[in-house]
Amino acid sequence: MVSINPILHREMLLLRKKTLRLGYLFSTLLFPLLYLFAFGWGLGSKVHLNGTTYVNFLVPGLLAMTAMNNSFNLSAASVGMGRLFSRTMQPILISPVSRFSIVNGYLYAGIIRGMIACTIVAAAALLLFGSSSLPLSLPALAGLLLTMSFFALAGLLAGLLIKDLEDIAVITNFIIMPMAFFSGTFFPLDNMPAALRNSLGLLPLSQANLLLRSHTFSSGTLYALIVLSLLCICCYLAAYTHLHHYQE
Amino acid sequence: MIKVQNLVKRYGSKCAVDNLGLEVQPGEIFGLLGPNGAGKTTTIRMLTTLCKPDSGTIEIAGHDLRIKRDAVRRLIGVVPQERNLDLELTVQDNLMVYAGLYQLDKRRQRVDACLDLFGLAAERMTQADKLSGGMQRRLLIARALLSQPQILFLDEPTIGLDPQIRRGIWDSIATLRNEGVTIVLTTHYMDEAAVLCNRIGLLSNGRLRMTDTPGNLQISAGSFMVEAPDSNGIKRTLCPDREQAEMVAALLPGALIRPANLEDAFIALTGQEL
Repeated sequence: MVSINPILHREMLLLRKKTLRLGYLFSTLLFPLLYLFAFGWGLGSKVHLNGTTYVNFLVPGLLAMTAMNNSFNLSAASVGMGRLFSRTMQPILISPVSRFSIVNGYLYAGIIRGMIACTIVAAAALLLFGSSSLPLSLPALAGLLLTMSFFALAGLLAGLLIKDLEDIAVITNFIIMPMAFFSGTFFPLDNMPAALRNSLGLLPLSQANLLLRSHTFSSGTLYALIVLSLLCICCYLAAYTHLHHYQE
Repeated sequence: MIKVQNLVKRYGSKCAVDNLGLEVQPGEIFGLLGPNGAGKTTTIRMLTTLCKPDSGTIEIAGHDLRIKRDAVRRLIGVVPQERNLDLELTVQDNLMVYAGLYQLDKRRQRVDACLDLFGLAAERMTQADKLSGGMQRRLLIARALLSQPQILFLDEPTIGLDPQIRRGIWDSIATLRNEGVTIVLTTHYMDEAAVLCNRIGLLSNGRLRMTDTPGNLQISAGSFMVEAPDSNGIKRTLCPDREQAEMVAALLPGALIRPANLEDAFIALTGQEL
């Protein structure tokens, strides 16, 4: 009998409970849907960027941002709160489940939550602006999966490293949110000063946006795929190592 | 079953556990008794692989904890001081998740048996946060026993519970002792330690001051307590026998004599109040 990863099982049971709460769904999807309605309707067909309508530029960016927020928040909140507040992480840490299983469980759970949120945002975009707004190419789908993977692992690492619950808010406000605005989600980075543009271009969400707006594989998309893959591997190893040596 | 030698754990300049050594025999209930901050929970955390000692060795069922952490994790069950249940999940789901963590066979049957054993079968579909404090505590014990551990660690298992529920938990712990489970229990309730434990280690400021049976600890400090009001409150004197207690009482106006208890022994032996 093939048994489900126990961490994934737990996270899915918790997610099922949470999604039944209107407030949770609302807080999770409020901002991407708000941006979609406001900018999509307000600027969508009137403004053109990079040879396409603004809405076709915006939707892939919003999907990358939604993937980032949801995958990161699931593992960061679950692990951080579980360690420091509810202490529900402790039974996991003193169980014989392998540390690889723990990392994999949060990785899968983060990907699934990212997928659910992205599906809802994509469905809204499809209804409002048609299928042309959706990034359905192979590089885009690979980029979305890597984005979810990286941020789920980064969330796990953050949840393991934070010393205080307020640290999650600090990370969200000072890293995640600025990254959403300065990674080419809402506007291209071309107009930024050159030095800043090059630095911002290295951010994981910038790589994700590049992939989600690609229709075919090119040297640029391959570079982005390699960067995101390497970031995933680094985060995976860091999370595993930290779990292996974890102590209170 | 458990062998601890020269265990030290420091947090900054504070020595939480200071050169602790103890042995627990198979099938025994060993109590770690001490006031808040004595080092009980830190000791349990080290024994249950949640934190690493700065120095010293821990051997559990023949496994060196520094090397065989996963082997030890398979053998132990832990009931923590805090109620760290998944409160949004049902009673049954809490146990099913735990069964998954231990990769148990026949999970459904084991969960059903555990629910029956701890009188939680009627609450299986109840969300854990809707349970009373006593039921949540029972669920924690049921969860720890799901993997049928050889050794059970109970960290303040009845803290904050009313007397009737405490006694119910005591009955469950006594049943486990009869089934041969080795139990390490921390408490600062003297009556709990006296009723349940085969042996008690008195812990104070991170140091194990004395280890013996509850009866011997009581006798070693004195059999009778003389209490008399004085200008600072109540003056207490432990006496080895009734005759000496009566002699002391005769010198103190308003003095009362009563049999000494474990709390008196703890204060006399460690110089600390619980």
